[in-house]
Parts: sequence; C-alpha cells; structure tokens
Amino acid sequence: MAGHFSSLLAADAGDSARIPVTVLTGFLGSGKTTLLNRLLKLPGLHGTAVIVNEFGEIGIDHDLIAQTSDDTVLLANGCLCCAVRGDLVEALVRLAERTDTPLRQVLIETSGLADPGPILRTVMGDPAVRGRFVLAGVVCTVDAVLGSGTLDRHPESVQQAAVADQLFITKTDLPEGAAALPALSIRLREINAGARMQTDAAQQPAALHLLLQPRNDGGAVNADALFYRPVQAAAEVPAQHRDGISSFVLVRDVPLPREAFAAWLDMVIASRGQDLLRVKGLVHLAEEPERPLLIHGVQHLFHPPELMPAWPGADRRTRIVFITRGVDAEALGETLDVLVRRHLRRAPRS
Amino acid sequence: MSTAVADDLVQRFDALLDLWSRLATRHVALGSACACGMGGVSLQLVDFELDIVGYLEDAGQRCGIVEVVDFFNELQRDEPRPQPLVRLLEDAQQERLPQAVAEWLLPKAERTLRSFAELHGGGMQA
Repeated sequence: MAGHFSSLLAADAGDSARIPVTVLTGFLGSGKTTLLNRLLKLPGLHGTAVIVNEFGEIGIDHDLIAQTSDDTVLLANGCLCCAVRGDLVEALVRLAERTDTPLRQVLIETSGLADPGPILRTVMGDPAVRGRFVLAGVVCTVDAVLGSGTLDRHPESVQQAAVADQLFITKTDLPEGAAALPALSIRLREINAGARMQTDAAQQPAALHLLLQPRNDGGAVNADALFYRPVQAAAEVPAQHRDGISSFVLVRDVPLPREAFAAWLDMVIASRGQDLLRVKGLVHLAEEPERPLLIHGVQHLFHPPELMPAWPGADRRTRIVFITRGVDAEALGETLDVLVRRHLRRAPRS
Repeated sequence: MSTAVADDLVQRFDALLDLWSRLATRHVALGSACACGMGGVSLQLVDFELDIVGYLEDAGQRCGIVEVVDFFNELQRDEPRPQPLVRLLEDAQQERLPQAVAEWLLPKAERTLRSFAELHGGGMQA
C-alpha cells in the first residue's frame, strides 16, 4: 500500500528549520482579538507575522500599526501583520519570501465563525506551505460567561475547542465567569481531554507568547506536547461527548513494525480521514527503538513524520492522541493489531 | 450444546458472514481524495482475510482452551485456502466447528470484523 502517510514516511522530512505557525481560534466575542492586542504589547515579537483572516474583524489598536502595503502592516514592535483577504497560501508564501525582516514565527487569527480545520490543513498539506512552515499549536479562546451556551448552539465552536492544544478561558475575572467556570471546564474536558487549560486571563498573553516561540531544543520532543501528557487524564473522561466528538489515547507497549504502522494509518486516513479532527503522537517503531516517530495530522492531512533524536523520558510506549468525530477507539486498536500481525507473519523467520 | 445456544451461534455467525460479504469488496482509495498529490491506489478488505484469520489464529493458540488451541494449530498446518475468513465463518455458521471453538471464536470475530466495519463503513454493523 502507498497511502498518504506511507508516502510521507518514505519521503525526506525536509528542512527541519521550518517556521512555526500558531493558530488562534475561538468563537465570536470569546476574546481572541483582545488577547492578540495584549500579546502585541509584549516585547520580543520581532520577526513575528500575524495573519488575520478577516480584515474587517481585526481589532488591533491602530496606533500600533504602520501601514506598509494594502495587506501587510508593520507593528510598532517589529511585528508584521498580514490581513488575508483571500488566499492563506499566498499570504504565507509572501511572508516566507520577504527579505527585509527575517520571519521567525507566524500567528494566524481565525474568523470567529470558522471551523479552523481548513486553515490547519493548509498549513500541513499545501505543497507550497508545508516545506516552509510547521504547525506549532492551536490556541482556542472560550468565553467563561457565554461559552457553554455557545457550545450548545454553534457546532463551529465545538470544532474550535476540539482541535486546540491549549484552551484559554477568558472573562474568568467577571463574577459570572468565575461561577460558570467549573461546569465549562468539565464540558471542555469532555470535548478535548488532552488540551492544556489556561484560566488565568492575566497569564494568557505570556502563555501565548511562549507558545509562539520557535523551539530551540535541538529537536527534542516538547514535554508539554499533548501526546506527552499523562495518558490517564485522557482515559478518565467519557469516550463519547454529546457533540459527537471524542478524544482518546491509543497506547501500545510493544514496538510497532514501521510498515505495519504506516499501512494501518494509511487505511485509517483513507477511511475516516474526515473524522480525524486532530491526531498527535509518539510512535515506538521496532526499527528505531531509540528515536520516537512524531506524527501530527488534521483530518486526512499529516505533517511529514519526524524521527526525534531521543525519547523525552523513560516511557517509551507508543501514545497517540485522537480527537475524532465518532471514530471508535477499540476499532482503531483492533485493526492496528491485525496489521501488526500481518507484518509479523510476512517477516522472514530466522 | 442446547438448541437455543446453537441457534444463537448460527444466527450470529450468519450475521457476520453477511457483514463481511458487504464489506469485503469495498474499495478504499488511499489518498486520492486529497490535495497531497497521491492517488490511484486502493485496497479491498478482502485483501485482509488472511491477516484476520492469522490474527484470530494467534489469539486462539494463546487462549489456553485445549480444544481451541488444537483447532487453530491444525488450521495453521493446513494448506492455505482462498477466502480463509469466509470459509472459517461458513464452517462456524454450518456448525462444522467444535462447540468450544465456535463459542470462543464468535466474540473475537465479531469484535475484529466490526472494527473493520467501523472504519470502512462508518459504523456499518451487522
């Protein structure tokens, strides 16, 4: 078989110095632009491009902005701001080709009504983009006061929360927000058990700033990454959320033959790709016991998998976080086991 | 084996055969629906029959039930047959398997085939 993942696995992962892209999503009125404005007042954003996918919605304080072209603005602190009117691909390529200011990282603020999936797929799958940029993470703002009602009424807001690596709960300083926070936290845990939750509004700009920074760790696995969080935390939540979205962790103690794993993931992507909202994980390949394979996908598109230099800790089990729309965890595990068995049966016996 | 138990086994194996017959010839396009540049490669679940039987065989040989272990040891020694999964399910459905083997096999086969059905048929069940 030669599906999407197998092809990526066979190909060279390419230049490892790709520019990290962080996506800021969240429903209308959830505080994205407020957070962005607070972020932009922080020092140390030189070389950061901000892409806003609906120009009319942008709420950046215009005192901070000096217009340099129709669709690119230079912020007073050295940050480039590109307002995308049309094509995200064009905007990213243009930014990558700029020579006046070296580009270090990109933040994309999505429209409040948007399913962030297409943006994530563009970053991960577009041929003109994926060699130059890498998806670093997704932050979703959720209004503590109105969040539960929004999740009830707007499926887009559930999608936004489901794909996030970090959930920033805003307006917790309001009395109504503080009161609503416990129930909202439970609801969000049901949707996305693996996401880190940030409830202190004062800390959120700095936390976003930290997330934006290019990793300078020689390629080591980020210990804060979703897949490296305790497996138990994700396993304790109900398997199926009322919105049809579930998150679970697939764990395997035994190293997986590379060919079998790739064939299985090809099959899963081909069969249920549209229902894979996010897939992130570390895979222990039998052929590479010292180097975990880092995988990351959104729907049917995956980043080229990367062999990391070392395991982040003593735990060397394969751990893959799935956030899906209705994909059954047991079915994934069972079919993986069949494919592993297929490979072992075909392997030459010594 | 009581008649009721036997009837239940037969009916459930019959349902599994029906499920597999609907699934087995489905084509799954690998990557052709996306903009990643891949396409033109597809698979059919019928290609997995030998793997599924091998997987059940491994589990049977490890299960510790003498009759089941003996059955799968013998199955492994037999010459490979075309459509080994369909033949195994037919043998079970037509009560040609020892009772202990059929009782052990049924939940395992249901779990495995329904897992493939879940992935390939979006939850299609028997």
